Amino acid sequence: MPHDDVAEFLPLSPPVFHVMVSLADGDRHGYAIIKEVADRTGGAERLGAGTLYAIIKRLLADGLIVEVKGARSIAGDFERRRYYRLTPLGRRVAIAEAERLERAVAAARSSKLLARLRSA
Amino acid sequence: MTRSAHPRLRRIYRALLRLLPFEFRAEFGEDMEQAFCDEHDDVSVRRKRPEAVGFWMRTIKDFARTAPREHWDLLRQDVRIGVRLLARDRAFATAAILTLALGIGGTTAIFSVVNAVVFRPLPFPEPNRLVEIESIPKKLTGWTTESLAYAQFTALRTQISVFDGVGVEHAGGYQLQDASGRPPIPVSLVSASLFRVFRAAVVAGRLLDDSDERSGAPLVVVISHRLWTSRFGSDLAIVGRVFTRAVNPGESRPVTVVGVLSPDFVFPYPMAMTKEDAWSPLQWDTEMPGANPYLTFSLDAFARMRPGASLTAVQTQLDTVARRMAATTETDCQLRATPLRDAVAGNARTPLLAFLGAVSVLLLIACANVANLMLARASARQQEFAVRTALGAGRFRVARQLLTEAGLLAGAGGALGLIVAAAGSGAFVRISPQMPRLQETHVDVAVLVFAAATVIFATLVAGLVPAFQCSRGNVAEALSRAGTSHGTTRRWRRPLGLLVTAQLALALMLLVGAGLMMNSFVRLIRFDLGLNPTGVVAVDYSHRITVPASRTLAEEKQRGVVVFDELDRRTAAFSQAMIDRASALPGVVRVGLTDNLPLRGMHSSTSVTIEDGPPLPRQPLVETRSATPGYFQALGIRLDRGRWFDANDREGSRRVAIVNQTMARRFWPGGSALGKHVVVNGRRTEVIGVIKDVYHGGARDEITPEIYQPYAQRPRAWGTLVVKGANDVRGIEGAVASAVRGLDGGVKISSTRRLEDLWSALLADLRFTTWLVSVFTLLAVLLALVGVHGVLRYSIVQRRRELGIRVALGATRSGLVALVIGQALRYAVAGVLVGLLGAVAAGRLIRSLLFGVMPTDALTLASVTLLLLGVVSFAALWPARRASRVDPVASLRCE
Repeated sequence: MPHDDVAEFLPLSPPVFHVMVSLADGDRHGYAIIKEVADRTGGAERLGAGTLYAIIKRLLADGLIVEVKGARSIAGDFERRRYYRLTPLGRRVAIAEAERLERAVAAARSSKLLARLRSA
Repeated sequence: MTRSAHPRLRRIYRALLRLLPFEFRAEFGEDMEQAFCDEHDDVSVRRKRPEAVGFWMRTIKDFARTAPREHWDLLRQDVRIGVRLLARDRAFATAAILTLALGIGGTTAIFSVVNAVVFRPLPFPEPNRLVEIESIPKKLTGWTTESLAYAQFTALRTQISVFDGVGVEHAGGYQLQDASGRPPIPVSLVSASLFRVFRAAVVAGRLLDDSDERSGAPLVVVISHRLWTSRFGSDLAIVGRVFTRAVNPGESRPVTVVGVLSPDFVFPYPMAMTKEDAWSPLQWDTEMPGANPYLTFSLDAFARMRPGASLTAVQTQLDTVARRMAATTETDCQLRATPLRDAVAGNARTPLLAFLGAVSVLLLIACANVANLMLARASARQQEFAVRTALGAGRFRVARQLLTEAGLLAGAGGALGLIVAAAGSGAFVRISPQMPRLQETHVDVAVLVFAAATVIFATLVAGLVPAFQCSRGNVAEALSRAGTSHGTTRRWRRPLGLLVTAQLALALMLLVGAGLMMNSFVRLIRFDLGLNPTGVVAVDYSHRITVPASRTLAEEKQRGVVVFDELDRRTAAFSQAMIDRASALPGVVRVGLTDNLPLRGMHSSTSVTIEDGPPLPRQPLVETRSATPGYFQALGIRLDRGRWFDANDREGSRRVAIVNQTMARRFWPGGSALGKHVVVNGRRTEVIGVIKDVYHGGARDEITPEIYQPYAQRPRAWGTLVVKGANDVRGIEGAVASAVRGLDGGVKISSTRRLEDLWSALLADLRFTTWLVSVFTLLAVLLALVGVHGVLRYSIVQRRRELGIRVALGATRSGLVALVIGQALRYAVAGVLVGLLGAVAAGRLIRSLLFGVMPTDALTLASVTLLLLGVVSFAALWPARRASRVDPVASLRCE
């Protein structure tokens, strides 16, 4: 897998990374992303709608996500929500960032800095 | 999840969405609203108050973070696009940037001068509370303002509650003698309170205090920092050193230095011309024993208002004091307080503000030119705009783009303009006649802020019209006409035409201003001053004759003729010897002596008693001079009636005097002044001649009553030799000076100068103002003509097809030329009409700068109108000739 095109996107800012992670499990629409990110981080990362869509705008422009046409919400209501999905490039970038973060934590663990870090 | 049943919340959210840029809102607005409703549902289900508050806080914070970032993003995009577009069209960009640099730079340059002279606060603590107080005599002295008498000062000190302190200064003091033989130091007399008013500080010793003003207190003096460093080498031992002051011939008293002031105390502020370096306390009883405090002294008064006191409150109290004095004493004056900053700026204020106005008009014209250029350029891009709009860019996006371009041009113009401003203000300071605080001109925060504001202003003026015009376009129409150039031209011609008309109107207003000022200046030069300064040289001298003076007044009153003491006799003899020597020099036509040279704007007045005339409420002040008969002839002063002084008017004959027409008319109205009597300095004098009025202070000075006494009856130990030379007077000053010095070693020549130079200096301010306004006007007219030229060229290119049809239908070449010139003249006439209205309205503002012309002078208005119309027609010639050469076949074909 060519990693050169991926490296130019790193490092990702935390909110961007969390948005991409929440899209890793499947297509999501706006509020679902917000909720999932809030749940995953235990309330630490609470994205506002404006912040989220600014991120989505950039990810769309960079080609890391795409809009999924014609999706419907699971509950079957008739609102037209827009769903987003990671592109293959996006997936690679998210993975690369996760690996980068893991390496950083490992480096911290190997020093005396994090004596009692619990693994996730 | 069901749809939230809160339409009001949705409305609020939608209103918040308007904070975001249009594109972002169009793309994601609905989704954001949806997410908002979803989150709100979640929160409201749990029904917890703090959660709800937190929810709204987060929403607001979200907008506070997102909106600026998105707008900034868009701006960056616009800037990048704008820079690229401008780089492609370098000719346009250069022209626009240079034009704006001229306008912004010029305006900023003048503003930095105006800031230094008029606006910047004085360098004293809390300077806005400082005022200057003047006395305005109500009757019959001929002066508009006077300095204060001692009694007025005392009244101010005791009766005004809103003053924190009042201080006075009398510039004519005494000379401090230094035993080392160096030149004496001039000392001014001040009240100790003056230093408190200005919050002066000392670097050594102490300030004067009130106890030093008591009569009989030892004489003390405080010196300036400048004097301390330059003359005494910053030696701290200066405090306590004793100098001497000559009190009477042969008698002197010790004066002790008690303090050295800090370097930031400069007084009087800011006149570097009078170098005051030492101050002694004003001991009233010692200085002027037995004098009338209501008539003497001439004190310049300054006061500091209490915190919170207003100028109106001060003026009210001053009026009360003045009324009280008028009722109980012989002083009938009005007292007026002026903020010190305005008093210092003085006469410089109006011309400077006039310059600022003129250069701002120049800026407006420059911005209009750039707007023109942008419009012309934008009209060529209208297909691009239409396409972008059709693709969803939104009208405001296009407008934003154009405004951003205008902003880039203005920013670049502003940066270049700062350089122009620095150079321009430096040049202004160098060539301008003396103005208070002029040397303080420099670029500071206020100037930079002004420059930034000017850049924003220029952006708006240059960018709004094109932005508005382009975003208004009908997309369908523009797209359908893609490729054709007619039909849309009319829509573009209107705003272009309006801009050009506006430019011409502004140019006309400036032309009227410049024309009026030139008219004034010519009148000033040609004005009959009542004397002829050409070829006249003035040599100031003084000499000491060490012979004691004695009193002669009583004997004179008894005998009724002029009585001299030994000092008078020697002085008179010396004066005559001087005149004889000077007259003998080659090339000298006439020699005269006076103790008060004209054209210097200085007055020397005495209180006199008028006899044989209608009664007056108080003793008037008249300007007094001693003069020899040759004085009048040397200056070409003309006699109205009576006779000149002659050889019989001397010691032992009756005292005589010559008065001017103003004095004759004022004190002896309706009859001849000849034979009437005036008591001057206690001596009864008969009027034997009346001269035609002389404008001693230049054409704009007011004429005051004057009385001349013969030198032979009132000799003075100092004065000015007035020498009229035959041809080129260049060498004469030197010859006269050495001839005089040769007479007696005790003579000092303090200066020699030509009267023409003095007269020219009086005109210097108006000359400079006229010149500068004319330069701005010329630039403005040139810019306006460039604008006209550009618009006409654009119009002709757009109308090629129409012109081709006309030619095909038989129009002649001259007919086409007439058509184009006619179009230009239509703009010009419209501009002239608006400009005339503007000029008439604004004329009142410059009235104080004019002389002998009304702001609505018909001749000036008519001639500049014709000038502008003529120049515009001339500027239209070239595009008109090009239009006339249109090849109908080519123009009709090229579509």
